[in-house]
Amino acid sequence: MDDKNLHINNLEEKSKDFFSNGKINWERSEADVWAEIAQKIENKPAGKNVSILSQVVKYAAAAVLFLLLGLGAVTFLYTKSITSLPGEHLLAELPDGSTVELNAGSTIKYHPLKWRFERKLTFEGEGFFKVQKGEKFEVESENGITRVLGTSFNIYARNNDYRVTCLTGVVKVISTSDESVLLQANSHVEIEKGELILKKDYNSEKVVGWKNNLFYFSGTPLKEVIDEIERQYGVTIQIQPELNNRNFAGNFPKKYNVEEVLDFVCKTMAVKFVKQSENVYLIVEKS
Amino acid sequence: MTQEEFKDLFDMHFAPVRNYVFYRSGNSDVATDIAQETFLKIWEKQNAIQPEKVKGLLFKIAGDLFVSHYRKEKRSFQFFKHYLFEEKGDSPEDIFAFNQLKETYEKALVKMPEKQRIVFLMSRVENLKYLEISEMLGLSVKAVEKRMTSALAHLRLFLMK
Repeated sequence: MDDKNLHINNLEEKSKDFFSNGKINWERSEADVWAEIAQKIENKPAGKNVSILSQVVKYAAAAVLFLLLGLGAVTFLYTKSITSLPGEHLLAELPDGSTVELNAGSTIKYHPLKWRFERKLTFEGEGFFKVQKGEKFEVESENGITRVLGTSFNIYARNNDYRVTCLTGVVKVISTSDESVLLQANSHVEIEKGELILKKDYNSEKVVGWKNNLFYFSGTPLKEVIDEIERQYGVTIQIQPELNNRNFAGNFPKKYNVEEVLDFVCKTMAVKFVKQSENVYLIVEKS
Repeated sequence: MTQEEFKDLFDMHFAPVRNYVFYRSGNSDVATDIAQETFLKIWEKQNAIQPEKVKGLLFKIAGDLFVSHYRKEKRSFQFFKHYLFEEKGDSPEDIFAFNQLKETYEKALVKMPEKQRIVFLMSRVENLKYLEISEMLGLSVKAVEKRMTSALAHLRLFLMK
């Protein structure tokens, strides 16, 4: 061993010797400290036993709660919307098996996840509803609400018009001004300027003729007839405003093409149609 | 945990915990206060005591308490003010040499990184084995060895001056 190592070993021994010879000078003995602790814990009873497991459970509970809240929000906000395009009839099935046949250019919106708790949908256009029996079923449109238990009925909610025809069962129709009427089978109600006009013994079959592509009109403003043709055939028809309120009575099936139908309507109304371009027509007074 | 169990825990671990804080702080008063607080904390929390983990837990709590205490008031490290030796009836020369050595050691300990100092003093003052130290501090034996080697190298530097 060389000198240097000798010196190091020497140092190690020396430091070992040095430090193990003294003792720490405690101002308070262990017994003193215990006496103090014993007094303190006498006054302060042991806290609750918080195990790590209960902490985990706490976090898990928080996580689950958060998840439920999120799920609730999704359930609440998730909206499904079904729209039939012009020229298209659509059968929409709702979660409980109720169905809505949508006439061309109609839209329903509802919350599928909330459906079990609240059968409620917003609706615009024309549709035939077949409602499964159950808790209340509500159809909301801009100009009125229809509330039913289980029945079938037709709603026409376009522009400022709101018409409900009941085919089976009973429905309740509520106007925006909170007036309401109970509608029995084969009765019909229209809301006109906020007022409910009830018609009993209505020919409800004709109202839902559209389902079979049959369109019935009696005393219907020409504008409305033309709008219906526009929707059914997906075309654009312009009409001179002064012709809007001429009343039309008659019916046509959709199996004829748009020009045949226009020809038929125009002949009875003593007007004529001019083809502007593909799918665009203009209706003018016959001169 | 009953009071009896708590007393057993105290008897078994108070001294090493207090010593440990002393090695870190170089202040016996601080060490006693913090060791006492450590045991009160254990009592308040009443964590289900796992015998194999309690030692490490105590050292951890004491260490954390010391760190927050240290931040509040920085007290000087004065090991030999609290660490006393038996008076030796040696010659004045010997006493002088001994005091010089004490001063050198004090300087060396103050400058020594805390992690090394704790391990060094545990080993030297209490004659603890590396394995025992590693268990208390939650370190590997290798880490304790390494710190010890560094501590000795540090000391050597001071003693050779």
